[in-house]
Amino acid sequence: MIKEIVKTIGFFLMGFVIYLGVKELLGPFDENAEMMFDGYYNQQEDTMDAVFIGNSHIYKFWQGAFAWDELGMASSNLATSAMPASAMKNVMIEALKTQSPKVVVLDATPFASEDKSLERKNNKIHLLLDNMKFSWNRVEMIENYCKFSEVSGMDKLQYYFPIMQFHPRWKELSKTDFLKTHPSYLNSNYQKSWMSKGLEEDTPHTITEERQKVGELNEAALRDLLEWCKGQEVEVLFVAMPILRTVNLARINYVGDIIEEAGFAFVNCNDKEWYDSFGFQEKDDFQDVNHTNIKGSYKFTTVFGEYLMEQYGLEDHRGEDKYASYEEEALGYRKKVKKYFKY
Amino acid sequence: MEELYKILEGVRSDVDFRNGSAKLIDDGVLDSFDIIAIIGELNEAFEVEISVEELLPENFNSPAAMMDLIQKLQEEM
Amino acid sequence: MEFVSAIFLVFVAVVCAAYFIVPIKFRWTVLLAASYLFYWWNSTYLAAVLAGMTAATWLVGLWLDRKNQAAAEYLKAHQSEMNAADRKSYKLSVTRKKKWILSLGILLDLGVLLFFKYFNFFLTNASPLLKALGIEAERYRLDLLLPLGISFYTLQAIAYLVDTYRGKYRADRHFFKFALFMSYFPQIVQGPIARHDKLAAQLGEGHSFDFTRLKYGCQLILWGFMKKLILADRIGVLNDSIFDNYGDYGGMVLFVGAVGYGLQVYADFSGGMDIATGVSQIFGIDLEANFKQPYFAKSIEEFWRRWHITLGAWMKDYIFYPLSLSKKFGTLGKKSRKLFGNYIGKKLPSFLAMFLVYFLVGFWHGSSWKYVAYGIWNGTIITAGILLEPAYKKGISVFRVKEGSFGWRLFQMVRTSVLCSFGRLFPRAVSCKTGFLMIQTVCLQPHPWELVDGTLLTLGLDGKDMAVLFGITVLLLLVDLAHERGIRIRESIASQGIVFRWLVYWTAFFLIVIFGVYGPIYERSSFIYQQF
Repeated sequence: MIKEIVKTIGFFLMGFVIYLGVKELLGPFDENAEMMFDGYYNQQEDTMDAVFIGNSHIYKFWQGAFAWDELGMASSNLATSAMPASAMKNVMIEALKTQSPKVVVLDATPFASEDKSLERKNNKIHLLLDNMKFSWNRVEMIENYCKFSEVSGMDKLQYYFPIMQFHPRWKELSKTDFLKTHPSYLNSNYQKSWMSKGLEEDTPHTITEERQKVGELNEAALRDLLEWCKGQEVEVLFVAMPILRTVNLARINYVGDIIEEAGFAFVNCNDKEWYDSFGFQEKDDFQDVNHTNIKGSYKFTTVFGEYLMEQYGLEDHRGEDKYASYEEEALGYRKKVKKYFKY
Repeated sequence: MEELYKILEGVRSDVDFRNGSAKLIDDGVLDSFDIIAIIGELNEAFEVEISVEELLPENFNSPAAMMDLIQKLQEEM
Repeated sequence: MEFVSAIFLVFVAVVCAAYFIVPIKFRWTVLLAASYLFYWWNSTYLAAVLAGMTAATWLVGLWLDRKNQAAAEYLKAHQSEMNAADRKSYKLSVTRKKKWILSLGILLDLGVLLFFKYFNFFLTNASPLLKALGIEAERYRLDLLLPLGISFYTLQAIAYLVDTYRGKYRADRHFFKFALFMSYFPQIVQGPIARHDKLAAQLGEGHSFDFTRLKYGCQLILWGFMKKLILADRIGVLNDSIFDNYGDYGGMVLFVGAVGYGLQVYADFSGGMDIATGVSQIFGIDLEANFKQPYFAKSIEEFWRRWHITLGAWMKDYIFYPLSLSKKFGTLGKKSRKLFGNYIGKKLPSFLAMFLVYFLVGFWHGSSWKYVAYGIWNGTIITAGILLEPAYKKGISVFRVKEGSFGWRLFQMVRTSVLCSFGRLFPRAVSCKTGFLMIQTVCLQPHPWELVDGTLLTLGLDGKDMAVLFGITVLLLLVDLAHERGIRIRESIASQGIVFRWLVYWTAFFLIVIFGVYGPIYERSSFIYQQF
């Protein structure tokens, strides 16, 4: 009997190992997302002053390396492209597992969209699924995601077993899929186009006072998050990054109203005073109308960082032994980007 | 018995009914057309009425079984 | 709930667990509950149709059985006083009554099937007549959902009644066990069409857990999934493009579609059978085989003895033999022999019966003339084969063909497959007329260049898909060849070392996972890194 049990376990273990291999091979690889998550998990426990959670509006604006070099502030992003609104809470839970930051900065833009954007095969959840460690929180994130994108029944399986979605990728496997390069966990963005691109034509920043309703499911996810945050001890700050595209601004205003109504701090960097404080040269400092590039990111990080230092009483940790890893990563980052940007 | 063999050989000259050991139905030696043909001839020659109820493999698997069936039916007449 | 789906596997796992937890005596109740749950899942309230037919068939069966028993008792009691003539006339009178009862039962069962499946078909075809009578047929068109598996369990019920009538076995006294026989979930969707004497007892008795059976069952299920997901659903894409745009292609491409459709149906249907058989095997229940390497058949007639075997057997036992052996056909045979001479005359009644069988087989497949055409095609080829046999034999001796040589056998197999594929044009074509049009194109505008000029790669499958298709087809062929040679694959796998064995299982599993056609539609573009 015992022999049979051992054999059965062995059999399924073998399958599981093969599954992991196949999943790894067929799953699309995103170096940026993996760097972000593994870098976060690897960071010395309970050292972080500030954690930034959100989509590309986080990782294309805030760079931990700049904040360290200029201010001695220990921070990191936990952000993936097009992060679904429903996942924000779970990512925050994940973030608080290993760090107890003074402030959690949450991106307001994931909520500032219409629901129908979820319908366009929102596979970006996989950036989280592929890189977040297995835990109950990850299961909850899938459930939340399914609830908010109206996926039910057996269709949920594709999120628990992403291979169901990715298996046709066997056709397009290339050398890179077999030799996935190990990313360097620098906690700061180093996507090539972001480091090298600027705007083709000068685009001025505009402001609006209009309010535009966001999608119902997005609003529900936001309210759910706000309710949950009320029970947390950590300070929470919502932020909307400066953008040059007016369309989204009205929705951001709408989201901001809800946040402030719930009693949380909200900084809209598009407000005139805020925007001017960064001193952007739009054509040079933006990669596109939605995101700064490395130059704009440097300006944003230093200005916004100073605000955080002051507002939340953060200290300069440069030179402290416990923070050696931050120094090391910042140095690595400086080397990595020096071809494109010197500071 | 000789009459039976002659009938069988008349329908399927390529099968050795006398010495063969194959099961005629179960091993697929005879197909349904053969069966119908054989029954037609048997009915005429032995003055019996083989009906659908008797169409069981065990009644047609060998010449001996067929003979048994015929005798049984003759008894009932 | 589809057979080939994750939910079905979960369902089977739960039913299995329940089956082996419940005490042996009550295990059949798990199967009955599962079967009705499965049915409800798929057809909801139409489960009432199944239940109603079950009840009617069960009652008529008991009635017939009582008549049988009463007659036997009467004969026994009056043995001494009756002479042969008395007995004969008594039996005749009993038979006459039984015939009425049987007809009632068959009409009930068949009536339900005809109503659900063929009502609209009859309506359409009768509409000119109805119009003449001043009735607008379209108004009475019914939007009916077909109760799941009704074509299969109707045949099962009729077989049961006829067998009881014939006294082949006693009627089932246990209503709920009979209900299980009628509804057993692995086979209700698409057969195999079971016989009561072969299946009911197996279902009713409890089976104890057997690890080997579990293993073999799972292997069969895996193989079924492989056939369905890697082969059938992939080649289905190709067939759909060809048959939906048949006007755009030359005859050779259409022929590829016909062959492909045959392969698709084979993989799909036999895959489904493997799953049904595998699931049953886990419970300890053996289902009848429905396929025996059909593509190794050397004639169409043999093909039909290897393809959908249980349907063929049903037709033989309940249509072909009764007709051929009936008195009317007997006298017909005598007359035709006088008219056409011995060779053809002797065979004519059987031909008539056979034609009717193929007509019914075609019609049973669906309520459209194209299926009838499909049946008639097969019937015609078989008849032609038999009628031309003398000429054929002559040809063989003139050309000194070595019968039984590999070359000759191969020729026979290929010829059968080709003829079969032509027939396949009908059921898959949009209509009967299109079927004929397509055959015309195959013969008159073959456009063979389309086979090599890349046309085949524009049908929804790229070169890589084609390679997978080729690989799995070869594998299927090899497995069939092994079976044909009498090699028992699962047993030879079982005799291998443990590592190899496990690798075989997992390879099969991951072949399905990777190369199967399933899951949400994957759009390459949706994974390419997008800016928010």
